[in-house]
Amino acid sequence: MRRFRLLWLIAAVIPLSLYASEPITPIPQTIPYDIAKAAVGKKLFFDPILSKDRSIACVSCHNFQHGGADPHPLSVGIEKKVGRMQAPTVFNAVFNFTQFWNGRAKNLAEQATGPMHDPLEMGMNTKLIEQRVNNVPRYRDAFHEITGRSVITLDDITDAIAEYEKTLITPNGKFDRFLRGEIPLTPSESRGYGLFKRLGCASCHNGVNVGGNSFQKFGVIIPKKWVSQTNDRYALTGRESDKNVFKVPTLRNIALTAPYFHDGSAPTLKDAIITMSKHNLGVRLTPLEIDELIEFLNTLTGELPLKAITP
Amino acid sequence: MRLTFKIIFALSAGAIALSVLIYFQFFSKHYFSKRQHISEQIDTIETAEKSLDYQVLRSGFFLYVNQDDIIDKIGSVDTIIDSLYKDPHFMHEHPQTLQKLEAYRKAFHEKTNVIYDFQTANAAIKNATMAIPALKKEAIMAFNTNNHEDLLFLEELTNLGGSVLLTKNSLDAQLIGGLDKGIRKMESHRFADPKKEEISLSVINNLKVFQDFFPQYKDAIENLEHSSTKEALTQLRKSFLLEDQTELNAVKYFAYFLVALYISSLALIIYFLIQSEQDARTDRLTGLGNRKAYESRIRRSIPSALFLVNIDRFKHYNDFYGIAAGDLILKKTANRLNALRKEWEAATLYRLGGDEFGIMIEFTNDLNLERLGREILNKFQGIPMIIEGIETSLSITLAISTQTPLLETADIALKSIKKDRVKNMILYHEGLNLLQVVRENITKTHELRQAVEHDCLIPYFQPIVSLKTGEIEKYEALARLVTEDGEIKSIFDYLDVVKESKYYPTLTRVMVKKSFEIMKELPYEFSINLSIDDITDEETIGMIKTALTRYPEMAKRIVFEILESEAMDDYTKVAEFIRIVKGHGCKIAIDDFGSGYSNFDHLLNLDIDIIKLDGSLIRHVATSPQAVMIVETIVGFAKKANIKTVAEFACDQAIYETVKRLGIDYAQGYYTGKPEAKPSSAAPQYIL
Repeated sequence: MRRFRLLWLIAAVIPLSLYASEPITPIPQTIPYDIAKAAVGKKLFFDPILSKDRSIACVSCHNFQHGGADPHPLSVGIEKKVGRMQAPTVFNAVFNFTQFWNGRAKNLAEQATGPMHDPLEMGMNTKLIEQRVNNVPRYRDAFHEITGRSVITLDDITDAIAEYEKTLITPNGKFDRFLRGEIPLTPSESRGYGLFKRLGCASCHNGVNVGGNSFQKFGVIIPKKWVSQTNDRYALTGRESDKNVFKVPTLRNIALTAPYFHDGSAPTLKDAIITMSKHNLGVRLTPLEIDELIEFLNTLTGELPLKAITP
Repeated sequence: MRLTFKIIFALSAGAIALSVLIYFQFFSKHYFSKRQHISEQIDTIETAEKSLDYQVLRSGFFLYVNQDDIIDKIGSVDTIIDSLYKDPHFMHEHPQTLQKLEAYRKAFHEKTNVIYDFQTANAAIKNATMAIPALKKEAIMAFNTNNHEDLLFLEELTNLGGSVLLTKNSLDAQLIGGLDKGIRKMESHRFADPKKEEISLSVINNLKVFQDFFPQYKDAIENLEHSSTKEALTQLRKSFLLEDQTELNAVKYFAYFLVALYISSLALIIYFLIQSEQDARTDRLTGLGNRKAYESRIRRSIPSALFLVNIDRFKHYNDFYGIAAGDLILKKTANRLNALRKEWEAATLYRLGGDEFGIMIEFTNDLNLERLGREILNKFQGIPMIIEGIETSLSITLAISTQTPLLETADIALKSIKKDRVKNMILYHEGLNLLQVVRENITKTHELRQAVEHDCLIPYFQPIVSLKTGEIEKYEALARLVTEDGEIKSIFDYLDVVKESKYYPTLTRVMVKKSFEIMKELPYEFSINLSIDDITDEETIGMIKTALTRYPEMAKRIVFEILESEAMDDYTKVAEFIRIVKGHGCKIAIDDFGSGYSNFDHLLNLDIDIIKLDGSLIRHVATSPQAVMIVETIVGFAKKANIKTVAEFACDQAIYETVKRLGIDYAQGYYTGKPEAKPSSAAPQYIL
């Protein structure tokens, strides 16, 4: 038994040491979360009472059929109002260092209040949100179990939603299994990964979420046109250098989440790769290189949390 | 009641002390664990921040790194800060430190933003720096070194590539000066060849990126190097230690208080112990040491002399004046003795018994014990003591001993002198051999008990000779004791023991019974000794009366010898007895007349027939004119009162002749005949 334990230890250490220097780490199978809160959070995530005209829910823009993101270039809110930004994926959002394109929310709970209060999105106010949720006996009972209080607050609501979002992670993608030493990549996938690192993509897209851990400028080499109503870092800091600076989006499940960029301006993955290589790396890729990069990016698609996303 | 109160007081004090101790234990444990916890949190912040700095530097160094490590470290510092904000102990007990924590939180928040800026600039700078050598490689392939303009471009590219690396690694903005000029120079040369043009533009773009982001990159690194978080953390730690010190002092003083409490309770216990020990060794009435104190002094086994002081006739004072007066006498006696303490070196005083005091001094051979004894006596002799307003001349008797066991020897000496009543001071010496007496008394008591139980008490008969006729006229029955080994012993040696024991009435009854048995068959008159105790003993009298009634013939031959003693005050009983036995024809003799309490009055009042003159008189009658004078007086009186006289202790011829000449009627002694088991049944003998 002891000898087996030693073997296990060696088996665990060898792959670790192999990809220890890789800039990307695999998504864990689960992360700890509060089951009761997550359960009520899930209901809220699907519940349109959180929008003013009861027309949309969180899941409307974080569409599980489209990798947890919005298939529209810009998100459409209540009364068909068009927003300013493309809704990023909710999958693995828990791993992002901040939330929103410009990182104005420091965690998921804080993020959840944003769309609810945005007049272009759900168009609610705190009082109305609390009133509506408190009026639903099912929520009252569920929250009473959790908090011991009879009144539900906005914090309780966003906390529950955030807890639910911890279940929305997509482990065991092909690339993660490669990182764990379970399967090899095909030669073209492998070459795509090599390009990804060599060209400098990995300078910004790294970590467990392949992005989501720094703010970077969109259009470093060849600047992109700045649009004033964009919610970039500049909107927060007012610093000139923060114009067109955004939180680096995750590349996890990137094949599923078209269209791309903060404004949804790239309809396909190929378009996105061409734009990024040109504007941020200053290189022109060959068609082969683009294909190989796409093949690599496809390996970042993980297992969807089916139980969590089924209403 | 007082004791109950003391016990309750002690128990509740103990309970309070215990709960204070438990509280202190709890408090200090809580305090130290809290303190430890906060201190550890501050340490952890410091470690996490150092680790963060390392990750940031690492991300600047390597081409691509996992920046999650940076984010994780920021997250752990934030988590600890939040946990400190939620710590109630920290919030309440460390208000100053809380302010410092707020300052640190702000500083760290700034630092976080600087790190974000660094990440942004770092990615751009790194990619640009990396792109230039790659472009150089492409350029070497595409450009023609023979072409002057191409060559100039390559030269410029090499130059600028070098200075970019130099600038990045030195963080020196001065070195970037040439970059601007170089970029403009490159921009001024356009290439017709699209490949060359593309490379050129790419180089220019990357150089511009470097130029644009370098100031932000440099600022970020410099900001990180001089981050105010370190100072803020130092302040936080200092403030915590300062406030902690205040709190620690409270704990410290509380501990001091507990120690003080402990010491004072110990002192109290020691005080009580000493006091109770002193109480136990002190005589309450006189304030002198008691028997216990004396015994512990003895245990030190220093050669000592003990002066045992006994108040004469103390019982009399007690009975006469009452116990309060008795106590007063004891106190005054103690005071007088106490005066000696000043005069004698290292004398210790004790009250050893009811009316007995002891003075103990260290004994050396040059001490004149008798002189010291006289000093004690002088404190009393001729100095009256005023008791209840009555002048009393209190006298004491003194026994001195240097022989261990001191108290026993002194006591023996005291007893011997008390009998004497002439001297009032005695020094114990081996000659008294009184210890031996005590031991013998024990043996005798044992032998006596044996004798009684095994019926070994028998009468012996000593002849009493008529001095007129010289013939044996009668006998005195004397008690004898047959020991286990058959030895016949005179009861005389046992008399003291017999009187102390319960066997005294038995002895008399046995004597009466056995004398009757023997004398029944013989014609002689015979005498039996009775004491006052016998006469007052109903059972003994009853038995005598029965015997007299049964043998009326014998009754006329019986003489009862009654011993005169100081206790002979119950005349009615004695007179009653005499009347009864005389009714049966018995005669009455007074024994040992002239020894102590001889009272002529008694002789007249009690209808006495015979006087037996005491041996102490008769012994000296041949040599002492005074003795002769006394005997003559008694004999003269007896003749007038028609009382016969018997001289005891007629042990030699001189005495025999003298008593005969003095007109005494009978003589009894070894000269006239020793006691024997049974008088011969022959007719009256003429022995002389």
